Amino acid sequence: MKALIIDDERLARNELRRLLEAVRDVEVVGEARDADDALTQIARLAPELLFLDVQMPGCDGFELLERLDDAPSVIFTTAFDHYALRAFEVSALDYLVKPIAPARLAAAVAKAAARTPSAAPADPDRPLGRTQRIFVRDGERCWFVPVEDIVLIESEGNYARLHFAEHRPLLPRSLNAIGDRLDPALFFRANRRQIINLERIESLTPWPNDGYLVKLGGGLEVEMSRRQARLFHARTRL
Amino acid sequence: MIGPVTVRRAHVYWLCQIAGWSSWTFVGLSYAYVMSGGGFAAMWPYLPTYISGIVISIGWSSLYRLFIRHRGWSELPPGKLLLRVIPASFALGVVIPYTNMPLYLILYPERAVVFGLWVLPAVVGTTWCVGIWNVAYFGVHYFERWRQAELDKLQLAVIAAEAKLHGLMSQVNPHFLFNCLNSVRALVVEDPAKAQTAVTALSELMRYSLHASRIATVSLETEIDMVRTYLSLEEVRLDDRLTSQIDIAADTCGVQIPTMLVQELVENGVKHGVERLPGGGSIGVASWLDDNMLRVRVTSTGKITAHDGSTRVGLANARERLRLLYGERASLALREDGRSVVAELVVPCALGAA
Repeated sequence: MKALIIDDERLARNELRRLLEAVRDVEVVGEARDADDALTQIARLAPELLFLDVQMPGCDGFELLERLDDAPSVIFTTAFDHYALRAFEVSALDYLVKPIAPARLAAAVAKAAARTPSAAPADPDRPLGRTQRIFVRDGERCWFVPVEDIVLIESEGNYARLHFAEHRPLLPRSLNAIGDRLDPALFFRANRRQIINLERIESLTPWPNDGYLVKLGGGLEVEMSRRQARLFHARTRL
Repeated sequence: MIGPVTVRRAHVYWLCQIAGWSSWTFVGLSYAYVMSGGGFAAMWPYLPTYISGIVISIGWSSLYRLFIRHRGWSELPPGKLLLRVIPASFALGVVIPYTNMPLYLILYPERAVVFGLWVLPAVVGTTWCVGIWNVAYFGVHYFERWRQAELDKLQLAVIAAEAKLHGLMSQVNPHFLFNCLNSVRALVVEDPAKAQTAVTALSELMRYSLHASRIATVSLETEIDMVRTYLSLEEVRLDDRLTSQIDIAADTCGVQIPTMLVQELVENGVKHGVERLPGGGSIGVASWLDDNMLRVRVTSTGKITAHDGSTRVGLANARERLRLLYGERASLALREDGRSVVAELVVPCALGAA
């Protein structure tokens, strides 16, 4: 696995690099000292695994993840943070406390390797695979959501609201930006403001404007515009 | 402390017993003898009955006292106590005169009729006397319990205030501690000499912090030494991202200040300012005297983050500590000045009565 170390402290980066020399399956391809640096390196090196310090100057580790289209496997590192990491749903990720114990590090890497799909890392020009995950947070709670679990995405100004399970977090990206990265085989734009997951459609009712009322799982309802309904017919050969 | 008080209480008890029962016996018996005819001269032949009366009264009331203690009557609420004390007073009022009766009858068999005349007033009078005895006894006990309760309340308030002060005293921030240990571990390989210096510095800081939880104030000089130690460690951790300047006026070195307070202000400056800036920043500490007040100013690069809960809690804690130590005479203010945050602490030079 190609790994990137993101930490603002030089000594901390050195120490982690030194520890990782002893761990099989991991190759440190780069180091970043802040979020901007990290974004550049992620785009350039396409790492499969991030070692991410929660507290960083400029923006914290969570904000960095929110800015990524597709979150690679992440192992958080922190000196002491009793609340931020408890915010995660189930064991969506691992975290290590500094100074890192070598045995804990090896275990976390093994777990990340088992979780990371063997498929090639995300290519910014290809759509997101259905098991690839998006990082979202809502206040203190955070999730890594597999793309296929998203039922509906709604535009709210420059933000997009995701609907999955019973959660409705906001993503700091525009609906268009997200739409460009989604797989057209899985997602469909119902109207100007909403993108729906085709697999989550429960029923279609003809609607006065020559469109449809689309019922989605979880009691969600969306109107499909006439223009999009025509596209929808063409796509699904209804 | 308990010893002498108990001894004094016991003395007072016996003094009251002897004085009280002597006067009652003297007055009661004299009145009876005098009124039975013969004037004051008639009292003297009956001296033995006076003595036996006093001894018997003290004896019975002392037995009664043992009984009260055994039953724990002084713990009872007033209503329940009254229900027990009134019959007890009647019982003693009967028992005391009747116990004295045999001696009288043996010594003066010819006056048995007179005794018969006076037995009822004796019973009533003694009952009153025992009543007064009860009022005095339980009055003292109630008063002492009330005073103890007040004392406990006061002590509790002091303990609470102390605990509050301890809670407000800052400890070495764990985030800093573990980051620091991590840096040291990296230095062990990279620069062993520097690692040794860092371990020494960290030990000193930890010792100071442990000490701080027991000592309310230290001299500014001691505190500034620790601030220097702390900054040397942060400089290791943050590399070239942190610079510092300390400018302490010579006449402020001896002034007493709350332990770890300046250290805390500096630490906040690093944590919320310098550390968060990709390009780093600087910390400045200056002190001077102004009209018998010590002023300490901590300047750090950065902005006041309004939504930062921990800063507000830290600031409120520091202010509460100042209030507990100095009352209204000390202050701590935080403001923004250009690209820096300025914390200004003002404390009186003499701690004095807060």
